[in-house]
Amino acid sequence: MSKTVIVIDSTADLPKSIREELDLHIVPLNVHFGTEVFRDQVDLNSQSFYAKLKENKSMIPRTSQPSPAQFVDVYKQVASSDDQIISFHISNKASGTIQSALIAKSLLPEYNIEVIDSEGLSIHYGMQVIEMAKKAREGASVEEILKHRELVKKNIQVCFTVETLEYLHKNGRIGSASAFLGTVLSIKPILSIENGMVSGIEKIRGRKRALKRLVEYIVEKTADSTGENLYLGIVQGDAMEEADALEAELRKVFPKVGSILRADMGPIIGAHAGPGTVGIVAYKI
Amino acid sequence: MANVTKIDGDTFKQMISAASSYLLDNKERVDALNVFPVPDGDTGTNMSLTFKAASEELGKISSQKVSDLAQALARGALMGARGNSGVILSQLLRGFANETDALEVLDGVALAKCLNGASKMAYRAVIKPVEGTILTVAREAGEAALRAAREKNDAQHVLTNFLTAAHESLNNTPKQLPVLREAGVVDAGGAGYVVIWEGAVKFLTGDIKAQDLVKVDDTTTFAGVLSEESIEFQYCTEFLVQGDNIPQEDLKDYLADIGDSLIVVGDGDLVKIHVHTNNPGLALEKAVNYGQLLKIKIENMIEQNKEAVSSGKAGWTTESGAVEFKSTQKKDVEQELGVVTVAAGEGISVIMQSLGADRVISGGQTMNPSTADILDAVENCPAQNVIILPNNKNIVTTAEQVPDVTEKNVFVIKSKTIPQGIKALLSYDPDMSAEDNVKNMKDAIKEVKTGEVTFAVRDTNMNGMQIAEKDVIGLIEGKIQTVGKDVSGVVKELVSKLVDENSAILTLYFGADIEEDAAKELVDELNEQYPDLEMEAYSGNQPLYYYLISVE
Repeated sequence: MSKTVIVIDSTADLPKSIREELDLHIVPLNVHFGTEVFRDQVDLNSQSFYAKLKENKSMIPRTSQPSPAQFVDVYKQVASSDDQIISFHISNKASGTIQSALIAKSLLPEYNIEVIDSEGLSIHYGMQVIEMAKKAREGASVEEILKHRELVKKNIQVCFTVETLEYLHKNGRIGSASAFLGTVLSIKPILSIENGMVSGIEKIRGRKRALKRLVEYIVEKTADSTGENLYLGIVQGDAMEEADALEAELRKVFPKVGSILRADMGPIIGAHAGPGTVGIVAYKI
Repeated sequence: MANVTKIDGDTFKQMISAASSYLLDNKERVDALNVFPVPDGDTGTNMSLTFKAASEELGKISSQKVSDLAQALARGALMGARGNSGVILSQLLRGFANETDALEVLDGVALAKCLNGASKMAYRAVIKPVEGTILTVAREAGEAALRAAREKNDAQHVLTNFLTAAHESLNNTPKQLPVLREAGVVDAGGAGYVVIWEGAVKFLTGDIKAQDLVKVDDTTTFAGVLSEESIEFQYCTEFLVQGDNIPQEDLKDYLADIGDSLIVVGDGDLVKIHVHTNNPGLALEKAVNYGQLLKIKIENMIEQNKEAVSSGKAGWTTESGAVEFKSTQKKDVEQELGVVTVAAGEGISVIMQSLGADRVISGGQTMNPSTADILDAVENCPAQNVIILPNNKNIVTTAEQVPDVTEKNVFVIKSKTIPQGIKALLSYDPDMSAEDNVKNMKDAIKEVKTGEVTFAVRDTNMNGMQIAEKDVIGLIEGKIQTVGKDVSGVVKELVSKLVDENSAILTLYFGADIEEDAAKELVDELNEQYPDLEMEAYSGNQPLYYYLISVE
């Protein structure tokens, strides 16, 4: 019997338990520290990544997309030509991953592969994956799964703050938040993701106020006061305590919210956002 | 080596191997071309590793058919593709291989077909093909190869012509892509592609052997910065023409004859001209027939380019790949909305500019700028809508005169202190409407409390306090709240009155008479006293005021 298989990449930042539970197939991106190359989550997990980052303070790690051949291998491994593959990935504006996936698709003309751009990063992308995988498990068709994902995408809200804009800047992923650069005062930016790229929302002074603002932003954008039908996710890179505090705060403002997804920002997004990045994702269906 | 009219399997293997070493040896030069900021830098490294992986695949097969070898090469590239440039290279090689059919050897015609097929495949594979990149270089060179093959069915002839065209196309990339032009470099991916085929040609002509380690000589034209020759028109000329019914088409035709990079925009009464030309005088002379000229700006681009080279600020990467920050200096381009502020002290002025203030008028408590001073700044500000932040109680009224005496659309925010002005600027977003900004700025001002520490200029009695000349006095929102003999003591006293349970961040702007160490020490002491507050100290360099204190 033919089946629907979801292939994602490692930038979804989903915890292992969820990846296994939802039967997701993952193609890793690569992290480069100088001449050393690591496959995201295969050779290097989040913890050792941030430790390495601290060791090599002067070195900005670089990242690279998977090769087309990596995608070909995974597609062949997880599906046959009777199956449907949904290959769903990190925003095309932030990474060339989709490019490699599309080339792999062109190399496997006998396979049914839908390559889709999530226009997301980290769990902003990852939570769309969860929704798709849940639908797939219910036995939905590819069309239904993609339609459901469109709906989620339309409602999904995201905001995050970084300790410093330096990482986004040096890696060329700063998007419209570049307007926040060059300020002499230390700024804790409130950022979001728009059309697949980082966008600037607000300049805040003080880390604590920035964290508080993240919660306010989500409350404003979801226009929700109970959290009853709200799905929430928190991602952090080397900022566990702050993420804990954020969760407590979110539970206060959304007393009826169910479980909140907690995720570690992986090496790829972490290399671009830098340590100390904290973000919230929220959506209703 | 004799002329190679046909490429057989053995030659192909050796040629690719030579090209691979050649690229590896020259990858730093390609890396240096990365435009900053650019996603996935290290183009030279990524391409050389991809090509190395590809060429190593050739060693694994025994067939001597060029078609088999080319397929192996493409397969290796696909597996070893690293970074975006590596992925595109893999598609170029795939396109090359697809055109080899089942050929044993490549003659000139077949080779040209392969080289042209390479670019076709790459264009198809790339989601959004952009001109001025490796794609353009591959395409234009591929077309040249086809032309060369029609002249003479000779592999070496084809490849040599291919390379010449690739070089030309590469040098042309800055004209096609503004980011390259700004950074003064050619496209890195295109350069990598040129190096590969340069290695191949050098092998065919016997200049290098397979596995030879050869450096590109320093005269190679993609050395990082546009060579002077590539700047065809020396002067970047910009100005406005103001008149009646200016014939824009005539102007355009004329200017197109004397230069390039032409922009002529505007309505019939006001036209903006931008042109690169070797004779700016001609441009001005022509335009002055139609009206008066405004905002004339002429820059010598060759000199600028030299400066960029000597200062190393043309988007160079250092060896580690860490990139120099390019300055984000504000350019005076006409914008929707501008901000004029008033500040005393170089430090305060710099902070305000960094937050987006377009013009900062020097002034403050004892040197209030006049309405004319403010008007001048407003007129000078490159925007039709201008927000004024007076940042001083006494200057608010002066600023409020300005809207009556200018054609511009002026909004005055009644900011009475420097911290209020800075707070307002923090909420400023040039992409939003003036009205929204005014609202946000007014709201923002309410969220900040201001303390000021200065000295008394005469004996007085105020709020029940005896104040002697030269006593240190502390003010909150302009009212004297505390008096003392010692600056730090007065600051602490004032802070205790300013801070409450809602306070989150305290900022000290220390004045021209305060040493940085003293300010830091004071922050440390305050930090101990208020561990929950985030604290920062900046040099405001303001006269007369030892400290300006902002509590949010």
